Amino acid sequence: MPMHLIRGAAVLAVAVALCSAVGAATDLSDPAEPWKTARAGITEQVPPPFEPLTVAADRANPQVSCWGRSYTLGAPLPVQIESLGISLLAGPIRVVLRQGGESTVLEGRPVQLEAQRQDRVEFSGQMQVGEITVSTPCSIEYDGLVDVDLTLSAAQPAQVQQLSVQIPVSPEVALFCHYSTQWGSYGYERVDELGESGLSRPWTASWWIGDHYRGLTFVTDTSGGWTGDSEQAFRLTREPDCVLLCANIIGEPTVIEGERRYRIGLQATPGKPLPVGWHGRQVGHASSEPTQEYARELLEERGTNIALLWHDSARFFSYPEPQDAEVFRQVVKTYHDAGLRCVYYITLSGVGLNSEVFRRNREQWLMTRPDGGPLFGHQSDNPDVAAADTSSYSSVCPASDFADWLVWAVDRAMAEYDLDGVYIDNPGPYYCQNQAHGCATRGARTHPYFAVRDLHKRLYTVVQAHKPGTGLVWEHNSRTSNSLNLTFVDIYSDGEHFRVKSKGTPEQMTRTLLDISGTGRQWGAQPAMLCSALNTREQYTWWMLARLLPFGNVMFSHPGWMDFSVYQPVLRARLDFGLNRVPVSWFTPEAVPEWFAYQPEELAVGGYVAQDGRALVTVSNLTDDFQALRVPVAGIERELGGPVEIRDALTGAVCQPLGRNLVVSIPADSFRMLLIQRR
Amino acid sequence: MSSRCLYACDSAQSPPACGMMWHSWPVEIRDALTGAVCRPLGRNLVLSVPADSFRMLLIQRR
Repeated sequence: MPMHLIRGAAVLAVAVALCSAVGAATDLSDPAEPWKTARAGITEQVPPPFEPLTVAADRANPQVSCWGRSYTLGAPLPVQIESLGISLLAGPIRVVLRQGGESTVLEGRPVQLEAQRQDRVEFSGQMQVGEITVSTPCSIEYDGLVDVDLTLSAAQPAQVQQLSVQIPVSPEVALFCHYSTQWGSYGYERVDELGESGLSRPWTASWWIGDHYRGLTFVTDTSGGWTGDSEQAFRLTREPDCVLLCANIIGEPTVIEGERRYRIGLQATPGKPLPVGWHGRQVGHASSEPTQEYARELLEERGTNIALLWHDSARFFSYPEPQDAEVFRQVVKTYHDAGLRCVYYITLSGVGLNSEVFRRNREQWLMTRPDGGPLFGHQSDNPDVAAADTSSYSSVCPASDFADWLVWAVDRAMAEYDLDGVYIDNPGPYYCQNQAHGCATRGARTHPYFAVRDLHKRLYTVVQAHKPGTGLVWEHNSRTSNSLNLTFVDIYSDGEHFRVKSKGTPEQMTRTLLDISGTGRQWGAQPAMLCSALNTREQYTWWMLARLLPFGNVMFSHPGWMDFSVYQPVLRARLDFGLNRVPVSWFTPEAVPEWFAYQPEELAVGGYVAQDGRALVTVSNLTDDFQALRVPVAGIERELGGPVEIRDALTGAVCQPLGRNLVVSIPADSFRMLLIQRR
Repeated sequence: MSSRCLYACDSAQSPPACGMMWHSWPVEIRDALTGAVCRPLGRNLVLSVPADSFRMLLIQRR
């Protein structure tokens, strides 16, 4: 009897807890503003798969290491950076300061180690050049971002003629360059195709230089305080012993009065490892009103196992509180029961106009133009426009305490609706001139790269706290890849530049773009090209998949925006192979293994090999001509350990060798997917 | 018994498209080689066909 009582009480306690959890629905516009003190996503703990920082201080230049990378410190900037065991730099990063008619090269000076935690190490250096004191308070965090305040100060007004940061990148690493400013111009370049004079650019927020597997990002967040020839603010040149990126911050006589700070970010990439089964994460749009049959079909027929829940079910735009909490819980449960994960739509740069929390915090949160109006959104043309409906929104700045509200709101939604993560639209950073929260540095636009990175870090922390190892941050990163964000992203969708709406065409997708952002290797995130590039361009379905699949890029699927009958069997074949379950080795077109010694070279080949000796290989014909793949079967059999059977992975048809070669006909701008397994 | 037909189309353009009016009667159209369902986009069945290639469709009453 006592046992029964105890058990009954225990069951009751659990039931009460469950009722409490099920019934809870946080009002995200709670007038008490609990988000202001919640500190959601702020912790000194390092979430896996990131690793705690380690410091080797017993040397002239201390070395700080994080997952996959190490930074040998020096003042004003690091003397060497390694990624995946390869040195990125051909020499120390240097700062050239010209003052009083003399140039001084600052590099490799001693640094002072300060706070050392597992998530963050702080250090600094200080140098004197004539009348100018150069100091560099720095931090490095577990994602590998070195955050530097390059600071010039003078007791009396003093003139500086030049200040430039010069980064000599190892020529073996500097194969590609990707530069961008959100809503500005961008480029995906091959360094060996730069002319003799190199590349000159006006101020550009983000630069990445690297190879197929690693690279180095350099970020600044404003052109405010940059002087000199604006067309030469950045120079990228091929030198005899390096590829040199110069950030020409001061390029004409400029008076320093008091103190002037330039914020600089350096980050080696990739930022993190990806988990077993990541190749089989297949993302797609999903209904906000699913039936069990629909959810089952989504997984079993369409091969989608990560469902995007759009903002149509939310109370307001980018406001992760559903209109009906109980209905929304059932939606999530329906997908979970069918074996799918669910992520909910948010943006980092906008929120519903009608939400009370926005109305209360509007002046502080707004992301503004110089005239103080919203940068975009439904009130951008007329601030007096009344909010029309729940989808009306305003731009808000991630550098304001809107970020505190959003992370708190996501934390509440994850807790109360059993969500698996978020889909981030409009990650930015765009630009802002709202001085109410500290933007408009020196009167110029602030492009809040650092604030947006901090917001990503907090969101990633919250998602992983609720769903350790399985939580997902999926980002629509539009046209450009920014490692500060993508390090805290699991899946990214670029390709917006090819949309009709963007006046683009899929034919603008270059091999260089695919080499830089097609595989995700350089960022440590999974690529899932936007399907909207195909919207009203369905004839490009084969064409697009031919370009993506060899690179391991599994397009975001939307049956209404493509000829899905082409894509569906691809997605099913990938899941049937076990890409979502089993460890695989992976190769992409830049390094096809010798055992798949194919001809002709114009073909692009990528594939997966499972430990049990099966292989799933995509061979794409990226030309406008007929092609036939020829590959000796003997090499395949040696690699896989015996006689093999090769089938078309989409039709199941046996691909019989012709003589000693496997011969497969591939139409122009198309692909074949082969399943190879031991007999 | 369901009524069935096989339909193949081709084009020499690159990259080409093939459109066919979606029938008002209830049919299911599948790629006859992979078994994938071919869903209409709006009122049209829209198929991507590589240059100098073909698609084979299996159309049957539901």
